[in-house]
Amino acid sequence: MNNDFDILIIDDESVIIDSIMKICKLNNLTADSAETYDIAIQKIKQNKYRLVICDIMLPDKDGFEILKSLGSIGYESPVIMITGYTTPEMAVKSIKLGAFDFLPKPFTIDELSAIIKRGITYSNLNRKKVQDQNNLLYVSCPSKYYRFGYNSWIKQDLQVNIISEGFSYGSFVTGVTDLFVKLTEGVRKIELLQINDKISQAAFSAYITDNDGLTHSFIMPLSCRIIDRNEKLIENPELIEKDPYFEGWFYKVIPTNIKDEMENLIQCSSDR
Amino acid sequence: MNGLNEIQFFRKIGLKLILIVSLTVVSIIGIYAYIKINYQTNCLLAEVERHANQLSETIKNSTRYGMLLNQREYVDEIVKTIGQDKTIDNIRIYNKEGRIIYSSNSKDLGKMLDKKAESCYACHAENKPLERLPIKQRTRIFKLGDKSPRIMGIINPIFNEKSCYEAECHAHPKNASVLGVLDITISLEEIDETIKQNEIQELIFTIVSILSIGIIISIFVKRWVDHPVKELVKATNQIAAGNLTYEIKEIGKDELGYLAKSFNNMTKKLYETQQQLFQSDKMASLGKLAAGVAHEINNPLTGVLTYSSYLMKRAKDNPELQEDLQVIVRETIRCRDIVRSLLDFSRQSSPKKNLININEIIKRTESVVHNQLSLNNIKLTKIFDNNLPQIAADQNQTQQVLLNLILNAIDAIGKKGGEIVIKTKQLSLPPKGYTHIKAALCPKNHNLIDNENKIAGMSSIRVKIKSGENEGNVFIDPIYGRAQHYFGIPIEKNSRISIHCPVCDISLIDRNLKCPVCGGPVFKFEVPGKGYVEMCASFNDDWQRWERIDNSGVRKFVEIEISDDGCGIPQEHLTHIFEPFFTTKGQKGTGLGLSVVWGIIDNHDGTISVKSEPGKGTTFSIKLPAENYE
Repeated sequence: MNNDFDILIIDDESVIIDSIMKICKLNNLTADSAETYDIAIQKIKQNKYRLVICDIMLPDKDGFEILKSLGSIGYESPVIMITGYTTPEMAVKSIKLGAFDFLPKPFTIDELSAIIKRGITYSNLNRKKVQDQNNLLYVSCPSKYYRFGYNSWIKQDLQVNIISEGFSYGSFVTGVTDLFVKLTEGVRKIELLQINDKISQAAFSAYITDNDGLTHSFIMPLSCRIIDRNEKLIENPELIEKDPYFEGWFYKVIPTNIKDEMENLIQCSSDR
Repeated sequence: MNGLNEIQFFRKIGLKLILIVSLTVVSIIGIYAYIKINYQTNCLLAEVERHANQLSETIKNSTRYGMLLNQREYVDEIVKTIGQDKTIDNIRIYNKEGRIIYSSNSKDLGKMLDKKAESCYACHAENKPLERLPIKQRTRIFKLGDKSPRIMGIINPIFNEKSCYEAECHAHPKNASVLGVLDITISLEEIDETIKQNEIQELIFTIVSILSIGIIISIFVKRWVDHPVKELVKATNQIAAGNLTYEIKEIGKDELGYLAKSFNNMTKKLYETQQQLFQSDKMASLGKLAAGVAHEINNPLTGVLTYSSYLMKRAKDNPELQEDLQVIVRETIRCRDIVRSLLDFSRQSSPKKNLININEIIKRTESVVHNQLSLNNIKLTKIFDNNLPQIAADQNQTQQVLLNLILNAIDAIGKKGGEIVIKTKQLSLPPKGYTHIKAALCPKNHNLIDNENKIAGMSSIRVKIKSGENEGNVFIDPIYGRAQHYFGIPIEKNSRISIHCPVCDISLIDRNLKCPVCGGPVFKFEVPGKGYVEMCASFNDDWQRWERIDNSGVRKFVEIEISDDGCGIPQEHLTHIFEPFFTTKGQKGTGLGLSVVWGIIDNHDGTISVKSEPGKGTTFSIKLPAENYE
């Protein structure tokens, strides 16, 4: 087993590879690169990377194929998807196929650094988990909750809340997972959106600044309209570290397209 | 296509009409003339006959005395004197044996006549006893030669009388019944001439009638049929060639005039639909372009962004350099936002709607352009409706729309200074023409919505129509009350029309209802949860009723009017201003501004229209729905 590199960058544009390499270097991480699907798969099989950063548009196959291939072999290291096609559909598909996170191009050093930090920390947690079992590293979300990737959770709040013909699904409450909080390693500040804002699934809808000054984005699990937000979080950011699943909720929302989007979520009960 | 010139001469409607009318006229006048001429001829001949008979009686009576006295010279003299009359051809008296004993023509005297000769045959028919004959049978008409005129002859038998056989001359025995025959022949030359003239007159009359009828019909056919048909053909050719703005001039108030009017109406609607299609088409291609461009630009931008921020981190000890690099980072992030908004627009992303107050947004937009307004000496007047309801709209997008329109107005006014007026008001419009029918079911719950055939970009409602012998589809306009239907088959006027579900063929006609406009049948379909939509099934008129929606009353809109007194927009540009990449600002503009505005308003289910007069100014008016029906 070869442990020369921490990160594998898959992209067909050398300027992107070079840029990410520089960012990795700033974070004291080493990086390898691959420009096609075939080379990437080959390198992943030969090396033990801690993190993979993958472009969606590749010359031979798209990045989703890499996600599927890695998913089928039970690959442990997190995969971050990046693309110039910055549509919510791309983000949703990435998360659904098991990506650790999604970042639209162009990104700043800080935006990528934040995600790399979480990815590497997650990778380290995974290795620790393998080393000493039974040690609870993070709290997984309660049953009856649904999670969107590793990032956020959502659960039904009020059973029936018919507002009009279109809105008859009741309200939901949403927040970040304990894993996400653990990966940020210390929350300093939380920024929330306004009530009544309409958000689409996988859109960045809250910003959490950690102790290193890096800003992490909360992604919305379902397309929705915000009807309430947790004002206590703004004054008291550490609430999400203490109780991310109850007191540390972010928003109360009314989903707008629950029928089509529910399938992109994972039932937390299946994690146990 | 040559149009009407391709029609062969003998196939033209005008000629056909003239031919058929002429034929009728010829037959009627011909029969009439024939009967008339016949009648006249008969009258004339009868007159001549009567005249000849009278003459013959006169001669007989005037010679009677001479005969009785056996004064032959006296009789001869009378015969000759009377025979001098021009019309009289000959006067002859035969004796019983058939010898001519008196004649106006002395050469005939003494000649014998065969009893079988034509003049004698009437009385001396074979084996028949001598009879007293009526005048008709005593008359004969004959010709002496091919070129000689016709002659009428009349014989008058001289019967035996007591005074005859008792006369002193004892020339006649008592038992003879007929003593001789007076034969007068009269020339018919004059009469024939009259008859001929009559015939010629009738012929001339007939020809003149046909000619004048032909000319009158052709003049009116030209005026009522030829000219309008030519106009219509010209118009269809223009439409076929793609000139959808062609309009037929007023060509009368008859059926063809009505056809021309509905033709104009059709082209107008076609034009509108085409414009809408063009717009959607352009938006779609712009979308593809933007997506492609965005992806291509995002990669190099990533390079610029990471390298510049990398440099910035390395230049911590050089504040001046760091400041410059900060500008690069900031501007690159601005580029990123521009590309993202372009992509958002190209995907026609559904707006993030919040409840907003348009008046507030206008005030906020004003503060953004405040400097530019004062720099150009432009006064901004706001006439606000303070009771304006809040509307569900994307705040940023709405502001973008307003900003765009105000900046355009500033450009239009230029350096000379002027005024921009922004008016807001509430509007209530009836649901007709605005409500979108999004679901439709037949009584057996088959879906009638047809996603493949769209009308003005929206899925139509497909029903089956049976009209006369024909059967086909009608694609109903999904906007309630707009009635821009598309007919798969021509509908025969006044034919029996029935409407059916295209899936199960069940009739959609409601027998209990009659169209209040034309009295024809009415069909209906169900909009689940929202009652029934009823429409006139003969499509003679646009009558529609949707009780549930009609009863829910008018829909509220917020109208924003932005007027300037700038240079205005020329008529030929007005139809293009919402097209992407259309610009009159040369290098100064991208031509995207108003197309983005159009896209945003369209995404809000609103409408935008423009009125402009070059030199006087331009007014954009935007209507946004005040209640969110989604």
